[in-house]
Amino acid sequence: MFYLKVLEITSLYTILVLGIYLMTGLTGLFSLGQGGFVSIGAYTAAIVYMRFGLPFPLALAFAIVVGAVLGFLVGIPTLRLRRDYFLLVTFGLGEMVRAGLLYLAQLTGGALGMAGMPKKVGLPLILGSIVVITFITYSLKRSRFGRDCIAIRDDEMAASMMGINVYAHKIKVFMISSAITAYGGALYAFNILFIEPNLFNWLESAKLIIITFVGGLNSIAGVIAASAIYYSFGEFFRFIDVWRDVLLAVVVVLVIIFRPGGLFQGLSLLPSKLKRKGR
Amino acid sequence: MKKSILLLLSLAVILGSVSPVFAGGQTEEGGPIKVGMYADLSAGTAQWGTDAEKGARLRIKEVNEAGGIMGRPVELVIYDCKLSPTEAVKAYARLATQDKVPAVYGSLISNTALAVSPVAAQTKVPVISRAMDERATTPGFDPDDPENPGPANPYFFLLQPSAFQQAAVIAGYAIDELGMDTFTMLYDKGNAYAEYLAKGFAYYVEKRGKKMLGSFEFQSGDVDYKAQLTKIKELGADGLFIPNYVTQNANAVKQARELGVKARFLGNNSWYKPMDEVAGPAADGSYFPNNMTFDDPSTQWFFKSYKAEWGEEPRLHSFSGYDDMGFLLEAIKTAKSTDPEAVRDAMEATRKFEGIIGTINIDPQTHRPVGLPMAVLRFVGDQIETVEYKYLPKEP
Amino acid sequence: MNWNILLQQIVNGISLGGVYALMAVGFGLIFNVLKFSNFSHGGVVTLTAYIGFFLSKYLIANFIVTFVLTAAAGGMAAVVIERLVFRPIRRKGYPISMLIVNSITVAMLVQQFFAVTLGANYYSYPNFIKETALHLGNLTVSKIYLLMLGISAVVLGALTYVIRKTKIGIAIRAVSSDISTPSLMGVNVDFVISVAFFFSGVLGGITGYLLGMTFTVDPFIGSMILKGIIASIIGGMGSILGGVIAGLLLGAAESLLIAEIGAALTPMVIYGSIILLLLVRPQGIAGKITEVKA
Repeated sequence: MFYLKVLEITSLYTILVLGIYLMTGLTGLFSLGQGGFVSIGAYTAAIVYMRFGLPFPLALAFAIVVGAVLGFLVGIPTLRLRRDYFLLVTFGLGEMVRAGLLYLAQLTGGALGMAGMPKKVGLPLILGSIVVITFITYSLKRSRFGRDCIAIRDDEMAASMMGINVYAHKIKVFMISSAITAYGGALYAFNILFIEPNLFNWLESAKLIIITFVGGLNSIAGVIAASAIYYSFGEFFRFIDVWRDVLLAVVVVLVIIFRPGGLFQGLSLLPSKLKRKGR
Repeated sequence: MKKSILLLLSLAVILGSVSPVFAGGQTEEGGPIKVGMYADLSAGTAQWGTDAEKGARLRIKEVNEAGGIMGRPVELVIYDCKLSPTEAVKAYARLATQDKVPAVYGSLISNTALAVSPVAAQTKVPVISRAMDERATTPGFDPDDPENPGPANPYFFLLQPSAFQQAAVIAGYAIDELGMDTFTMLYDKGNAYAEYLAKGFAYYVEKRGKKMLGSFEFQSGDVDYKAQLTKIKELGADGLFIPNYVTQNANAVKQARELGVKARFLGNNSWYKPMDEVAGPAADGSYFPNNMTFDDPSTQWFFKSYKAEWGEEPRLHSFSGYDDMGFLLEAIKTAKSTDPEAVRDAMEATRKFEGIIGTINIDPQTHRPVGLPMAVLRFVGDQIETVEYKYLPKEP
Repeated sequence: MNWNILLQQIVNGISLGGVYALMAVGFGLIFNVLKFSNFSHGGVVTLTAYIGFFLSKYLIANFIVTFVLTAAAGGMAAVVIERLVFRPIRRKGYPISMLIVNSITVAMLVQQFFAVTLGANYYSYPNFIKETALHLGNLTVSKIYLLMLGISAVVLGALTYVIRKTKIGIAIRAVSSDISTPSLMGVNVDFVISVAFFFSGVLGGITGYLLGMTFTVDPFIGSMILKGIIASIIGGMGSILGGVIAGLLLGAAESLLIAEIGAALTPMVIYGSIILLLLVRPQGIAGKITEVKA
């Protein structure tokens, strides 16, 4: 039962990592505020279910839609900014979400958080979600859409000269990512059964970015592997688990310097025989 | 693609089945009795977690020196939950299902308690905790209707007065012993612990017919409260209640002094050491409740013992760890069994556990202690002194 | 609201702004001149806050001496970080995003390191200044905040002079706009960048020491730097003065807003306004629009 729980939690976080893989790994958008989307997804689903009595699947759907819509609204003004400005603006947005959740205490319970959600989310749903999301991400990556993402990541100016509408593309990516992240948040709410506004701060958001880099910008499997290892690390290495984040930091620095494709850069989801030549 | 998912899953399963070699559950009769504990050993409240661990270990050592329980030695299995609810849930699950402990000592802090509480109800291994948030023991608690807490979680116990109870102690003392009539407060809006104390304080003050002139919040990461304190100064109340964590309280106190706020400061049990080192003389004249006090003659032996064992002075949660682990072990002894159900029943039936911090008398309705007094202390300069060893406020 | 209170709130705000301005200057040197958001600055601040504490508590109980030593330590730390973490990336020509990720990682490393090792303790600097506040009539100002404000101003002036007028300053500016050309002209790019980092590290050390002195030392003290970073960004790329002004405005706005609408709504208003500002005027208050490089 315990290992089930570990698998559940690890997989939940992996969904979140996959959520930002599309925008950060493939498209090079760095956001310190994705934690805000996790919270929004979690609270939307929880509020819709607990306060308005809607059925659980609808609650999930709501979370996804709200995530996408907010991604759109947030993206429109902010995606024109340079990378580090975007990073900071999204940090600010994450803080705004947190403050907003604390303020709207009537609806959200404020600092007291929300509890009492029934456990609707078990391992099957989580793993199933990972499969679906991986499939979506993989297909996007391999398609024209994904190639455009990578082009933008590597050199925005060149990409726009090649005729890619960088701005519109970024918005689509951001919307999809935010929707996935919000979905992950909703799953969290109905699995851990307690949510509070401080759930996912900028440091956790930063970790998602970092894990993506460790896993490998071009490797979905790599990112999944890195995420699985990090979030279940404590279970297998109890004695140094306290140092987990320090280790992560060291590993990341080394990886970026010596193996910038990521620790698992060679790992691909399909054995190479099945892949089409030329990417 | 399904292949790799399968690969990952099988990896997890393989590692999982290999791990019991390293772990190992409750063994046959005659082996040591493992008791579980999870605490914040790193992250923001790490000091409390490590203190509690030391207190718990000291108690276990004493019990073992006296022959153990039912002739078996006690062994502590402890995990770091890093102030994170998900880590706490994992730690609890591991203790309950892998290490198969009869009971778990966990959650000094409310956020982890609230995450573990429902899991405990399902897993049916009892948890004792210091989390003052009423919802950990009575999940239906509504701070706006504190008289009706709802049913208790059968597998969760609180061993110190809850937030509302503690707020009542200091509010009652302020009204009855210090003669205060008007109050303001400054608390961390993002922290349920502080917010519950604040609500409890306001509730008690109003029930006693006194006035809350103003209630001011700050965001969790803020360190500067001058804007709020300037308004507080303007309101001129008798008392200012500051119920947050140590560094926030210290910052608030120093800044309030600087601005010349006239109110007397009232605190929570986070005002005990090391608040004296961190706030220094700015805290002069403040009063706060605490679970224990350091010059109580009946507890001096603990200071000596602890210092001999760990080489440092015990702090608040050193006492917590010692008492709470004692309660847990006593329940196992009374139940004469390591079956979690039997231990749970013994816990619920505990009426007179003599801890160093007081006599614990569990109310089976709420799973919280009843009539547990607290000490009231005050700052004179930058020194803490005891004013009351055991104080219980008047009913509102 | 009566005038006295309003004045006090403004004073509160400006002095808080002084804290942010100091952070903005430290961050701003690398940001404005090398055009790179160096989040590891927070790590340097945290590290030096601890160093300053241990120096003043256990070694020498003298404000000036420990202050200077800590500042120097900060400088060295920054240089070390540059050489170990940023230089290899720069040398290999990787995109800037890698630098940013690594800088965040360093900040996280420092924070988590202290959380694991010393996080269980709260440290308070010895009381060098007995009376921490200045009373001017009805108003109260914190001396340390004033000190921070003063240092920001001095540093700003000094930096501006150095950047404009001295050889090393010109070299730094040359390097920031184009990494390869200056080396063709005989400038030792590595050395120049190290110098820039040294200065920013010294500022980080000053910031860490003063922050540690005012508020308690804990592993999360570096997170305060985010406000300073925000100020730098609003101030605009290319202008350290912009960052300082933005810091002051940020502090003032925060204090007044908290006083008026409470701490709950304030972040929303502040961040909302910042976002608006950046949308309408992406170059910030005083900056120039620069090309996005890859």
